[in-house]
This record gives sequence, structure tokens and C-alpha cells, in this order.
Amino acid sequence: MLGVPGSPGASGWALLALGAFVAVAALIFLNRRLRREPPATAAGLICLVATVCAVPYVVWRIQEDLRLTTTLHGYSAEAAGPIQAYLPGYLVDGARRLIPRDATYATAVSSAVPWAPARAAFPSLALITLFPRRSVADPRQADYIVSWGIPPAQVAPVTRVWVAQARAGAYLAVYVARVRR
Amino acid sequence: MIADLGGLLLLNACILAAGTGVTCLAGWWRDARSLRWSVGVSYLVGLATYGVTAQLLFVLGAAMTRWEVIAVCAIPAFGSVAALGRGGSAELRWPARTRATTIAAAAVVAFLALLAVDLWFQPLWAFDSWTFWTPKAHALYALNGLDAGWFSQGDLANKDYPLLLPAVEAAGFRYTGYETSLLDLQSWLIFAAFLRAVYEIGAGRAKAVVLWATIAMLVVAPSVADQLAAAEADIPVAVLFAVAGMCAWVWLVERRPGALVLATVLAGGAAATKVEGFVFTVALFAALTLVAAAERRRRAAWPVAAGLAALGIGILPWRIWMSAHGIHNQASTGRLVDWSYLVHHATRIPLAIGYMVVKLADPRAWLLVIPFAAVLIFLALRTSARREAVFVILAVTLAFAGLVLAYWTTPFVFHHHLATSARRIITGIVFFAAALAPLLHRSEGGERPSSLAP
Repeated sequence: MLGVPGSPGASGWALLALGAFVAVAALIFLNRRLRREPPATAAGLICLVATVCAVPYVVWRIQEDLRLTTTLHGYSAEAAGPIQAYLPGYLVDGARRLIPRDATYATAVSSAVPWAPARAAFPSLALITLFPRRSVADPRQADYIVSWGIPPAQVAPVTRVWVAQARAGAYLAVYVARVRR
Repeated sequence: MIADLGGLLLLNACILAAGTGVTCLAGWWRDARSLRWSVGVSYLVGLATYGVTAQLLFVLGAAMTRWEVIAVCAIPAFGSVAALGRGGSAELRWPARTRATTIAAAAVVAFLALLAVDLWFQPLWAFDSWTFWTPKAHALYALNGLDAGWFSQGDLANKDYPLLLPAVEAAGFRYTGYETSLLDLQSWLIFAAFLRAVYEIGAGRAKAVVLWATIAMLVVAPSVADQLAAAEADIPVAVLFAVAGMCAWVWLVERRPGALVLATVLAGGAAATKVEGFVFTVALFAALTLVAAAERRRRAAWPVAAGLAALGIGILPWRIWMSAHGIHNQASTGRLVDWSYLVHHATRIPLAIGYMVVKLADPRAWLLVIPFAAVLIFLALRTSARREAVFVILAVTLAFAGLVLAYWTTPFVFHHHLATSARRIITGIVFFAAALAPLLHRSEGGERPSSLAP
């Protein structure tokens, strides 16, 4: 879930502690009945008590998630996937007008891009942004190169290079180039 | 988005109709009254039926337009006509509804509603869903079928994953347009049907407290909420595997041939959903075969045939298509028989086992689902349900061993692969154990009447 904090924090731990306390109290209260029941039924009752006591914590997680997701609109919602991978959702948008719909392309990412998830996800961002254009594994076989932070000429022989997205801070420029045949 | 939700519900009504036809033909329900108690199973059978059929039709070149989707659902739905010629279930005895079960049912429904609200606002954010599951569905929808050039392209991740989930999502897009924010709700519908199926099969067979404790833990488990929000294939494959296991149990214990047919369809659906589905299907039918053979050797032929049929409908068309288009299969058999590779990576085995066991038993993800199932199985081993307990243990062990083998031979960076996927792929084992374990402890109410089909 997008909005759930990595660690429960004060509220989460308090709800967990409260749940544990109530569970122990309930099990002490039910002790006699649990001893009378067959083992499977007793185990079922213990699990029911534990589950009920976990509900406040789980509901808190959902509330934390909703607190974030209900504020997401437009770009932040549509690009939530790439943003999770440290990628601006618009990074490859400029390439769409430069590469014809029936052309093929190959992607390349500079190792200077500082986020490993972003480097790994860039080809997927290109794939969804440039749909229905198709990628090929070998840049020399592609019609176009889409590179992030690396001059296309270092990837394959090219005839013309455009800057599809200018450098912005730590985000290196995205280039599009036509491959020489 | 409300109108789109209507479209999604219409598609799912078609899937339910397809499933009711198949379950009726399999003798799972007889009349309107018993159909009411087969809705969850029927929906999941419909999902598997639509998924494997759509995968086959995509491979054959179909576009799966809106009317083709309806036709694929309508043809099996005609199976419901078989109910017309059958007698009713006059002596129907369903477990009486008590105040406690009414409260439990209301609480589960309320929690499911809360999950639905959360998923309504969920964007498409999980890595696997936005990088390949949903793009595949989008391509099936926007390119009107299985475009070989697009599906074999260089930057598409996990090209070898089968098509059930993208096919279902693409069918949804036919009714909603390219609306990705409803994909989580599609997963929610599958999960809700699973809980219903666990209840339908378990009620009257399992002790009520044990059954409701299982259902409550499944709906509240934090990992379920996390995975539903991710809109990936792990929940669907786990659901199909678990309900296939329950149907297999019905065949094993109650000797209803129709149950084995449904197990075959559901397991075929699991195999058509994800690579792990293949492992789960092999584990299920291998366990069923061994237990059936221990009872009577000739009876073992049925689960062998069913397992082969499930794999045949689930993955064979897709594998043929992959082979024809030169798509590399990540689960290479070459590594499985490469002794030097296996020996060189043998240290992965204890790490994979340990990591997955920790994830299975993690109460922050699954509450007490697995410890509870383990207790139930252990107790059953000391009772008359020993054979059924052995079936569950075998299936779980084989499925777990299959996952360990997958990690042992993974071509990816081992620790990264384990850390990013283990918590999800164990869901199949969790759901299977959770769904089957209550059945090992019979209800005091006695046997369910045969008139209530399953």
C-alpha cells in the first residue's frame, strides 16, 4: 500500500500494544472455556481473538493509506508507478513526437543516473510512453535510440540527435537519435 | 469512474454466468437454491474458464472484442440449462445460521467494504503491474489481440508470463476503456469470491469456529491488503490454486467426479496466470495422485489425467506460441539438469527455505494463518482425517519445494529476487493451507447432504 509508513510509528505501536493487551485479557477471561473445547476449536477461538485485536492496527494502516491516496490526482496518480521508481512520469514524453508510431527504438541508461530502481525502470517507462512503438534489444537494429544521460552516439551510429527532455537537477537529459543505416 | 465500474461489474457478471454453466455441468449445483451456495466457486471457475479460453483465442489470432468476450462467456453459461432437467433439493439442510455466524459474516463483509474503499482510490503503482502486467493488457486491448511484434519486443519484462490476468484486464478495458484505477477492484472481486468459495465449501464440512477464524484472518491479513493494492497476479494465482485444492479434496474424500473437473479447470487457470501456477498445479495433482494411489492404484489415473489436462489447457497454447515467436522461457529446464550450476548455487537452498519460512510465519503479514493451519494439520494427523492431512502436507511441501527450486535456479540476482518476490509468491501456499486445513476438522453437524451437490 502506497501510504503505509515503513514502520508503525507511535500510533501503530500503540494500537498493536493495545491489541496485544486486549488479546491477553480476553484469553485469560476465556481460559476455562478454551480448556473445555476440543483443541481445534480452542485454536480457532484463540485465532479469532487475535484477529479481532489486530483489526484496529490494520484499519489504521488502511486509514494511513487513504490519507495519501485520496490526495493523488492527475499527474501524481497517473505517474504513481514511475514515481515509485524515482522516475518523473513525463521523462520520455518528448520522444513521442520525434519517433514515428511504426518505428522501432532501443533504450540506454547512463550509470551516472544515481537511482538503481530508476535505471531499471527506464525501459519500462519508455515502453508505456511510446506505445505502440516497439523496442529492440540491439540498438544497431533500432530505428531510434532513446537514451537517458548518455549521448546516443555512444550506443550506436546515429545521424541526428534531439534533446527530448532537458537536464533538470539530478535528472540527466533524455536524448532521441535516429540510427544510421 | 462510476460508469466504468458498471462496465467492470457487467464483465464480472458475464464471468459468473460462464462459471455457473461449467459448475452446473460438473454437477456442483442442481437448482436455484443450491446455486446460491455455489456463487463463489462458480465465479472463480468462470474466471479460469474465460482466462484459459481467451488465452487460446488470442494465440489463435482473435481480437477479443466486446462481443467476443460476451460469446466466450455465453457459450459455457448455456451449461446452466442442464439444471432444468434435474430434481430439486427438497431435503436441503444447510448449517443453521446462528447469531455468532451472522455477526462474523457481517464483520467480514464490512472489512471487505473497507478494503474496496481503499482500493477505489489506489493508483497503479506496483512495479510489476505498471511495467508489464497492465501494459500487456493494454496491448491486447489497443492492438486488438496478441501482436507478436509487441509481445516479443526487447524491453518488455517477463515476456514468458502467461496471459490469464492480462486477458481478464483487457476484457475489462473493453467495457471501461483504458481505466487502470479499477484493476485493484478486479483483484478485490477475485479475493471476495475466494472467501465466499472457502465458506461455501467449508460450511457444513468444517467446524464453524475453525472456518470463521480462517476467513477472518484471511480478510484482515495485512499482506492481502498490500497485494490487492498492487494489482499483480499473486492473489489470482493463489486463489485459483487454493480453490482447486478444495475441489480436489472434495473429489478425494467425497468421490464426486465433478469436483475433479472443477479442480482441473481452476488449476488450468492457475497455470495460465503465472509461472508459479505451473509449480502449484504439478504439486496439487502429484499429491492427489500419491494419496489416491495409496488408497487404490487404479484411482490414481484420474488425477494424473486431470493434472495433464490442467497443464494442457493452462499453458500449452501459450508455450507453443512463445516457441513459435522465439520468446525465451526464464524457467529454463537447462539449469535444472545442469549439475555444475546446481552444485555451484547449492548455498541458495537453505537461504531460500529460511527466508520463505520466515515470510510464511510472519504475523505482520499473515497474522496467525500459517501457525493455525499447521496446528489443524497436526491435530488431523492423529484423527481419522489422516489421509486428507497427508494430502495437504504433500501438496504444500511439493509447492514449497517447487518455489525453492525456482530460487535455486534463478537466472536473476538471487538475494534481490528473493527479497522482491518471496513475500508475494508464498501467497499460494498460505491460501492453500488456510483453505484446506479447516476441512480436516469435520463439523459436528455430520455429512452434507448429497442433494447439495458439492
